[in-house]
Amino acid sequence: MRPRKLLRVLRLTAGSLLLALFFIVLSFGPLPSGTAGKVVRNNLDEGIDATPFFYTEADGVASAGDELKEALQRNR
Amino acid sequence: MNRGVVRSPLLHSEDWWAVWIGFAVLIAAAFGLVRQVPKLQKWTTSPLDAFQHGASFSPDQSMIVPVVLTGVVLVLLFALAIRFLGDRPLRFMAGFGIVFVLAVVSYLLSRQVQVRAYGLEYAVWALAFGLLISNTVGVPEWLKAGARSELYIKTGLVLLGAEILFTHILDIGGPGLFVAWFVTPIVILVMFNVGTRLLKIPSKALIITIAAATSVCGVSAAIATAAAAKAKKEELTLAVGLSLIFTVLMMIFMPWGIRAMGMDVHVGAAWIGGTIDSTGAVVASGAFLGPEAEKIAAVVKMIQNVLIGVVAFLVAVYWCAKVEREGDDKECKTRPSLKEIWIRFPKFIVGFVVASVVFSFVLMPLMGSEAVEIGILKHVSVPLRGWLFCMAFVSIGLESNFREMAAQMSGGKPFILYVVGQSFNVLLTLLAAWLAFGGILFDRLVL
Repeated sequence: MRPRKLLRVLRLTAGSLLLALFFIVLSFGPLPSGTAGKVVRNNLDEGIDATPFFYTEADGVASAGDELKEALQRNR
Repeated sequence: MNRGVVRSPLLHSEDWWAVWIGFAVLIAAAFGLVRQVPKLQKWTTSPLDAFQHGASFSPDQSMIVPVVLTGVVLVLLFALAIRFLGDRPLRFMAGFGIVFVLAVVSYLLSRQVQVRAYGLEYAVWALAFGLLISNTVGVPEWLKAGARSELYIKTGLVLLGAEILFTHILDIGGPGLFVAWFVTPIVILVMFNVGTRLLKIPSKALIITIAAATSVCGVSAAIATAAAAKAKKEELTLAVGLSLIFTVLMMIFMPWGIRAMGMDVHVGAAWIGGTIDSTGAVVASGAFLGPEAEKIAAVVKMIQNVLIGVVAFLVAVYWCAKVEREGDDKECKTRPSLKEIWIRFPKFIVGFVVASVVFSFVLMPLMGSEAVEIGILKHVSVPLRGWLFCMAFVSIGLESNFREMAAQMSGGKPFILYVVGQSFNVLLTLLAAWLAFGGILFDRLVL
């Protein structure tokens, strides 16, 4: 293998390992202590998915809309 | 064309193919021909758990086969488009295979429970994989052929249009509308002016993409606006990167700040809903303050989400009528004709708007809320759009390089724009939240 090609493959390997390490620390490592970890811990305890981009992807958002609508009607 | 043959743009433009594929999926779902698109489940220690049955798949059915089938159907649909667009379908199919596999892996990583709790969306992993490959070993031509980010984004956006249900949102009314719709346009205009006049960022497409991501709904708004303004892939990557980082930070620190200040929970929730970029992080932050706050925050965000269609449409019109003509002094001095605007107009936006209008004002009254929101959107359109956006982010990563991204940073100006814009957004939304949910303009809600 040519040195330049080898260097590229080595870079890819190193990058993949770093990415894998990042994922392992995030998924199996300890949660941050103090304030920083509180919301994440609450998400884990309550089974909340914090990843959806859009409201249609998040569970319970549409039903929250219905409840708010009812509350507004009651207020009137 | 050769021998006087005129190629119809309806069959030979990427925009129109995005519309046809998007519509074909939506029509198939509306007629019950497609009932379910697989979505990976959460997992804790074994990634294979992600392929366990979904809500409406049969309980003992693994999702591996449906996921592979989804890939097969998509590759056939897109290969047809590629054929008409004049490229080589077989070469596209080879590249598509790798892009789809990387998308599955990205989705899989984002479904791990602790990663989900941090709010690290599939876009993070998809971009990382793409960037890693393109900036180390490089991307061979056959793989580039499958990395059709714009085609995937545009098709995904047509599906997204169906999810923007105006009637549903307008019913909720009052305070939420005030917070979401009063602040958002002001923040976009202020950020656009700060970016162009004060910071003098050369790319208006980058400015508007960052502004939309900040003020509307993060990644999805960035995707829609970047497509409407024909932003470069590196510009979209930059806007998405900024939004993802700040979303996680705001998700963690905003509810803590609200508690520390002893702020009214309803006001705090509306503040969260109006400022944090992505819906998942809004729900997480709101839930930390309690169930009422979760509902209010989620609804404000939902109402704000709807603006994505209006913003994308207006940006597309403004770009066709003004920005794209700025290079030509002669053109700039004359008013553009409607025909000229139409020629330049990104046609997938038409599909996006038509899908939204048809679903809001025809299908919702005709089929009922449950059939549309559950049967078509939740089971088919939303998961398929997820796959398309995930493949788009893998492709964007594959098409981007760090040097170009560094050039886009131009002395940290995009970062400054985001921070200034988000700070303004935070202050203005706090005022609007207090006026709407603090019992000033509207009666206090009793949930």
